Amino acid sequence: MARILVADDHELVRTGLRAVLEGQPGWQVCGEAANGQEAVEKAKQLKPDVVVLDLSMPGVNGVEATSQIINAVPETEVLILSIHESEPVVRAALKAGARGYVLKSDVGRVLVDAVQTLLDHKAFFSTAVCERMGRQLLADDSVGTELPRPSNELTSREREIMRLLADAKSNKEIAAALHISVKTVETHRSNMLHKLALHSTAGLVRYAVQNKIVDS
Amino acid sequence: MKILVVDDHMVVRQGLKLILAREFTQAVFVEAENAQEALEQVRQTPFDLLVLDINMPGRSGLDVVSDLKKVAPKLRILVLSMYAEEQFALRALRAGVNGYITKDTAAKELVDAVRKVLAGGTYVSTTLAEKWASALQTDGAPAFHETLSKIQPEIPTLRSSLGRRGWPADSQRKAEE
Repeated sequence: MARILVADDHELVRTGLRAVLEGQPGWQVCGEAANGQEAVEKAKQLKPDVVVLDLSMPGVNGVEATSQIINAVPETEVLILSIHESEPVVRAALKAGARGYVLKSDVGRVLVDAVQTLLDHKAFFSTAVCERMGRQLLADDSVGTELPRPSNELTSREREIMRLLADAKSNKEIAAALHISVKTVETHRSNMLHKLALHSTAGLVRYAVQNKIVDS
Repeated sequence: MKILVVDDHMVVRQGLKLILAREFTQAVFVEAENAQEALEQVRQTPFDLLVLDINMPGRSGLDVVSDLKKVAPKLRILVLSMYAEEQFALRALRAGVNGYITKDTAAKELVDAVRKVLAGGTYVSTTLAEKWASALQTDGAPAFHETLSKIQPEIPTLRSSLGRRGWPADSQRKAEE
């Protein structure tokens, strides 16, 4: 039986949430809270699987209540219901430990899916919130435009050295051609062997041919 | 008895139905998500009561009241809104509704409001009624008098309904009788 705590300062809304949630087989609303402080106390006492929590409540607000609930009952998931879709508000809720964020205008359509997702310990967000967060991410100059390099991907210098090794050049010849020290060539060679899980120069040459880094 | 619940939020509709169904066990509930849908429902079916949200996508609840009254002149309408009474109650009453409560109203008061409107009365909260009474009794409240003058047709009703200590006077009067 999934146990859900409902926290909203409007009795009408709590009753409606209860009606919708208890309409689902195997779901039980184990308690209701009319403000943030009561939500924290009931969460500690009832240890529900999910708390459905209004963000704007008198006294202890939804963000602070979320933080206190997650600290006291870490296994409980918190789903925030809110009219706010601005990025700072969503960010504050997520930082406090909420796993889901649903706009009140979406509640009728997505509440059941959202709670089920949180019962599976996964995250759920209203589409409008996702879009806004995506736009914010795109607008953030600190986020680079290049994809992160996979850990086993060779650098351009390593590929250059691989081509020269495949051309049967010695470390000394490669160092001279690239104006680097022999020790640096050896370091690049060692790094390539490690990245590609190979054990010899012959292996590097085979890799170069198979991956069309050099012509066969 | 048939009650039409009009609100764009499904959770609110469910909450309303559940709270009212506990008290009005014989009531049949029908839902509408917006003003246009409400109008279509009222055209098709006679309802005893319509519980109406104001702020909905498309036409607002208040915009549709006159059309609802044209289709069903005797339809009782109770507005249930997020907006504070001071902002909209007078306007709603002028538009022709029979009561105004806010969504933060407790379930018991909601039931009381529905009973009163179904019984042919007009409902606003005690707090608002007291403010109106105070405005009627005090010379120095020009803004309020000005506002009240705009609802002149309602004032005699309000005056007769207001008891010595304010709204709701019907129950007080009955108690005195």
